[in-house]
Amino acid sequence: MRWKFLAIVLSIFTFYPSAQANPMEPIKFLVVQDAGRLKPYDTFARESLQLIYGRAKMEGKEASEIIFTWILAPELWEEKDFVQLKRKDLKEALKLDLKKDRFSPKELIENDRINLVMQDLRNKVDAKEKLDPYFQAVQRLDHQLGLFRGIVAGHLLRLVPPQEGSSWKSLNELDAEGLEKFSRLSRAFMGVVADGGKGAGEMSEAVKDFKSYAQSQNAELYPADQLMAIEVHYNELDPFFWAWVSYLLAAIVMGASMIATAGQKRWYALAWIFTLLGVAFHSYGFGLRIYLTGRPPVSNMYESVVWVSWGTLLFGMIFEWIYRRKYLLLSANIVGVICLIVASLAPTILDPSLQPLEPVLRSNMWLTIHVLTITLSYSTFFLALLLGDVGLLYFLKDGADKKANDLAQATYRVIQVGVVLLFAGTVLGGIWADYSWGRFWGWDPKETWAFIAFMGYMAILHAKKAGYIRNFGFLVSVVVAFSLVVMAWYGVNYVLGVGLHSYGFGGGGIPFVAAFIAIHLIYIIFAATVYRSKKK
Amino acid sequence: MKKSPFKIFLRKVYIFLGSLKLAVVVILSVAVIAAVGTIYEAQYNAETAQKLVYHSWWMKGTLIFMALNLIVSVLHRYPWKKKHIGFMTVHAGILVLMFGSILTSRYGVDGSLYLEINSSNRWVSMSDYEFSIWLADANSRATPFLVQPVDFLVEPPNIDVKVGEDRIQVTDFVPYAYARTQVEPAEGKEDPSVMPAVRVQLFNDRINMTEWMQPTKTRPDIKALGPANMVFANGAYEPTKNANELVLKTLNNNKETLSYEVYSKSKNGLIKKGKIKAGETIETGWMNIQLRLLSYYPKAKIEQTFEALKHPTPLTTSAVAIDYNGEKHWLGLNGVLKLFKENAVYFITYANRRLDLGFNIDLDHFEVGRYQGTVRAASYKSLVNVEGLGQREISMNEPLKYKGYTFYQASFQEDPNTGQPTASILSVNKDPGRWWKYLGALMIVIGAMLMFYLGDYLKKSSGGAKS
Repeated sequence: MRWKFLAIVLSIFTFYPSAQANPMEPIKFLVVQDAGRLKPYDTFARESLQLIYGRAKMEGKEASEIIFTWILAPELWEEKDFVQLKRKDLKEALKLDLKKDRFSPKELIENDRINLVMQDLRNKVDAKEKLDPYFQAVQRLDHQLGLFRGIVAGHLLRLVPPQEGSSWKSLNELDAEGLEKFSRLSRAFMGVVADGGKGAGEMSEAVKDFKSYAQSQNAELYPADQLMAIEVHYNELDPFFWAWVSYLLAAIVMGASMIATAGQKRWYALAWIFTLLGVAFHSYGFGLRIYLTGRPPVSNMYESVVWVSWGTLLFGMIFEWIYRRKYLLLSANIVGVICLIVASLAPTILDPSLQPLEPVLRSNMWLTIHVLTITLSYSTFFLALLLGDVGLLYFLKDGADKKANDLAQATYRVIQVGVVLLFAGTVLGGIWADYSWGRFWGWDPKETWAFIAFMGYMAILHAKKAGYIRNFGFLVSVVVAFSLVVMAWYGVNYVLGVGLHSYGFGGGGIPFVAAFIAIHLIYIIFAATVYRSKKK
Repeated sequence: MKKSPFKIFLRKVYIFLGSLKLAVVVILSVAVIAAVGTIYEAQYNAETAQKLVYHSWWMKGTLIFMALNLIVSVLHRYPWKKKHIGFMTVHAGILVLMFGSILTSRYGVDGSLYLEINSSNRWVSMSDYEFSIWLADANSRATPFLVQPVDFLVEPPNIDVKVGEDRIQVTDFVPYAYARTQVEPAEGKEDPSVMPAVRVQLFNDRINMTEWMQPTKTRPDIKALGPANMVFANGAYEPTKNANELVLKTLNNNKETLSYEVYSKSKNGLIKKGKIKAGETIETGWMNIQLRLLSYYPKAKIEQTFEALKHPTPLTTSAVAIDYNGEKHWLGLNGVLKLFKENAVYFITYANRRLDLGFNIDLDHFEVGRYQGTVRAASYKSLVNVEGLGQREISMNEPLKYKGYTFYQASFQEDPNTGQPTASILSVNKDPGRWWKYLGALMIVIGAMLMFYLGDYLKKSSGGAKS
């Protein structure tokens, strides 16, 4: 019931922006079966272009349009430099122009060394060896070329449900009627290319015609129009972009409210409004993902980054509401900006596509509780990190005054929430593992690093209690301890790359994350040096 | 009255054992050791990390200090007051959790059960190892004279057995070895393991596989290839009824040529026969599959050798080198090495310890659900028949409990050529520490909440005692 209600509410939004402005619009709503699920052609096109070209748009044209021209006029694309390949040693291995970052399919396929390189990859894969970044790049290139070939040849574009079985019929498996409908679609597409405005009517008719043909083949397998519409809407709105813009505004306004001599209250209220607006977009985007996948969206790195920042905002708002300290909400907003920018800038590292789940993750309730709890603890530690950064500034500016000590106390409170959540989440993971495969604790790297992070914060809490560290040292330790969280959250999947939790694995981004940690370490060394000399 | 120096010393030790200083040191040490473990795991594998780090004496010693620290810090607070309730619950909870873990590691069972489709098994393969030597006489009666638990990764091998004039020694252990099958022509050698051998390749545009085959004195070598069987027989062979079979047979006194017969289920019997030499290719008549005879040795010895690698891959296994009267042989984990002497054979095994469940389990049916239009598994379930219980279903996240054991659907095996599942792998578990661990964890969470959020309230109501 609740889903239905949400669907109705969403559908009101959904049909609003699909303005008739773009005559290519209708084509986005075709249904494609790809990577184990049904998705609108729009998503398929964006994901494909993202993988091959490195961006979801090309020369100002939308992916759905670009991909369609691959099918209609592949020869125009064969010699165009658009297959992204950045890795230098791979370019060297293929003797390609090192200055270029994009190459034509022809150049790559006819390269006389590519077979050797691909054979090396296959040997590695057959021997089940771990792929190093070079071979990950080779594998990506293999996927890029395979995907381009598959789209051009038509067999990756599965548009029509089968009468029997579950594998949809691809373009080159269509019957005569299907082919005829598709060629009408192609003609309509060419019509729009030739003369945008006039072709629009025929385009929408042709799409409608093709869809009703596809539906007539097997109505049971054909998804509701609305589901596709919502996904296209999700693609086009890009709610997380609007969320981080709002958070950025909120952070700026909050900063102003802290510095301003007059009208502080008004600035403060405005910061709250922007925060809430950001949270609204954030939650809306999240809601859409949940609706589209039918599961809690925390099964890969991208989703966890989005979720963790949402959690930070949540805790930031709760603590701000209780303590009214400004820096609490400011820190939360900064985390929101960092996380969502990272999520949107790094789609090759953080895969934003909606993916089906591995079998072991399919018991939704446990997955939800375990992962959500653990990642919520990351939210609090992220908030604590920013509080540490801000707090150290206070210490540098005015020494250990009331304001600075007060901030350290607030950070202590935030950490308390974090350690309880982290412990509870880890134990819930143990219970889940126990329930799923009979092992409460198995020293898997992901759980081990969660445990190490927990022990890190425990050491800090005990050391503070014993008086080994005071408020300044406490904040310094909190900043350092966040590297443990980064290791548990990111490092295990992307640096260590082993273990049972391998379903969330990916590669890349190591230099950026290392820089993030390095900057913090430099900052605390600087802060500690200055603070010491001040004390003397 | 002056206290004796010894008493002062004891008092100091007692205070140190319950101190926050020790707590911080112990917490950090455990964290560092665990971090080293994850690096070991990334470099080697989970087993190496467990044996050399997580279950090492370093870790155990540190945990003993942690337990002492917890106990003494609880004692320090005697007489206990109401305000201590959060602290006590958390720290006692950790002890309960540790107790549960000890129970699990000492008395628990954590193994796996391999079930082929339509067959039964009662032996659980455990994670620890056994080394054994059996002697089989001319009547094939085997008697064990050495069965020994071993853990070569932690304790290098020192097995050296003398039986009469024979000497069997374990000379080397390789934790990450890559197995190679080596086939050597063995003209003139009189050894029961010397038999004809062929290397065959089966291929069409989708499959391509190459195999060595060698029958034994009594049995042909049969390889199941999904819907068909490949058979290599030394002399006569009675074809299976109603099956697709490709049979290669040796011919008397012919060292170059083999005869072949192809049987088809759909065409009710023999569809093709003829002769084949090394290097020749024939059409099998099924799914455009062709057979190429790559090589044929009328007398050959198949032996496994192992190449030691620095780091494990999913294809490596551990192996031991065995010296038998000066001859070196390799034995891979879960393999059997036969050493021949006059009228008797030594069987040497190095294998996972097997635990008898006490009842049989049959696998009646196994099913893999896939994500639409892909080969990605979405779910799998086994329909098993348990002796004394009847038919039950085990699926991911839906385990079966029986006689103190819990059976979980862990994974499955499929035929690499056909993609059809061939066996289901269950993990078998018995955990006497489970509820202790849960209780401990619950105490920790509740205690922490009491400490963090009711601390002030409890302090006030316990009569303003000094903190």
